[in-house]
Amino acid sequence: MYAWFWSKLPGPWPVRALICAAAAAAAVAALFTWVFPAIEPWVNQPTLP
Amino acid sequence: MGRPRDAGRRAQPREEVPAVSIATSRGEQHKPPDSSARPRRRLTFVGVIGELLITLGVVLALFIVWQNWWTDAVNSDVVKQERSAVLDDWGATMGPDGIIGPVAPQPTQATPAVTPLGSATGAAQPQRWAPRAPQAAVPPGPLGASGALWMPGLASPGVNEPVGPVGGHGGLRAAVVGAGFMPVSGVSARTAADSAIVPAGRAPLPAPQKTQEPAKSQGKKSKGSKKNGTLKKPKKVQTIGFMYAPALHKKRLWATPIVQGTSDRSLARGVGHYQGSASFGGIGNAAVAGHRTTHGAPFRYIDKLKRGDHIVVRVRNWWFVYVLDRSTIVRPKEHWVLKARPYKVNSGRLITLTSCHPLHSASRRFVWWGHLVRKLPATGAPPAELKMRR
Repeated sequence: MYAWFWSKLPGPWPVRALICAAAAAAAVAALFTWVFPAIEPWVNQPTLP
Repeated sequence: MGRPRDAGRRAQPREEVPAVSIATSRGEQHKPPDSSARPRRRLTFVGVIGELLITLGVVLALFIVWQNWWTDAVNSDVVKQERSAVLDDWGATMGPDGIIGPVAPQPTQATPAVTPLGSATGAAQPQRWAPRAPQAAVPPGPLGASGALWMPGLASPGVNEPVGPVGGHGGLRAAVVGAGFMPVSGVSARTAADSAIVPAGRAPLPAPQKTQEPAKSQGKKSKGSKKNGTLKKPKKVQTIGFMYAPALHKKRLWATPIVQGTSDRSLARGVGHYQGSASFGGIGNAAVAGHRTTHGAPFRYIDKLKRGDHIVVRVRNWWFVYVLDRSTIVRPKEHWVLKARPYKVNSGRLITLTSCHPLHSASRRFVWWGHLVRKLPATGAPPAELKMRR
């Protein structure tokens, strides 16, 4: 999957690496901003406060 | 990840080579493009599943990081925003010592000499800034004295009146003291209160403001939102006051916001006042819950409190000084600890602090009770108990 993604990226490998890093950062930001706060009540039942 | 890259690189020279040799041998020409022009790994079901699982593992690890570290890391920002929003709304300022000054007199109430004529906003604005300068240097006492004239009877008019008879929404379960942990139980009442208290609580959208863009609009009254035009939604978490626990809170948590309700959303912003429990300073038991870990963990050291320690609560117009009497550890569903008189005490005005007990667990609840010893108008000097331990 990721290999396939990589192969679809344009440019030489540094460019691809940059794109990958940006995508990963965006994914993490989205998780931290929206996903985790939303799922927290369901995830943390046993250990939260 | 290295292989496809190599494959892609090799693809070009090899493609040219066959182009030259195309005339000579056909048999050889077919193979190199097949193996090199295409990435070697093809999308297979198992491969995709495997990589998704790896991704899931990474995401779960990230969640742990987020919950245990990130929510703490951003909490001071959240709290700061919360504070400034409420102070803005109150028209009060916070001194460098973290002590909140008197509330600016409301223009609608007949009074003070400070108030110029004019519209509500016109009148409020100068007062909002006026106390700031003196606040830093001079104790707030004389400054706000005029405000005492219109000071209403008891505790925080309309600010921390219980909305419903029951506790917070489902998140309370984990966050505080178990699903049944509310002064009056009852499923239907509870769900009704759910929707009433946290109307936007289920919407996925507001959640991000918890962390990334904290409190642009949250926890403040809607009228206080004029500050910047970024208000997205009306208030979701209402801040009713601030808690000072000299024995508990270091600099960052000094003046921890007290928010209404004990939902996850509320507790992410400060300590939560149980819906339906008494108002601060009022007769009954004013109960609050706070995180033991994550989201700033205002009650992390609740087990280090001692009998006789003071808890100072500031609501809009009053300071309340409570002294702690006793503690206990209960199971999450033992909501008797929130009763109006859960232990023998010669006072009708109690405070209860609850948090999870074994650190990093939620199997028990640590409970502290205290009673009101003093009540001071916010226009006067703050209580002497307010000495932050560094």
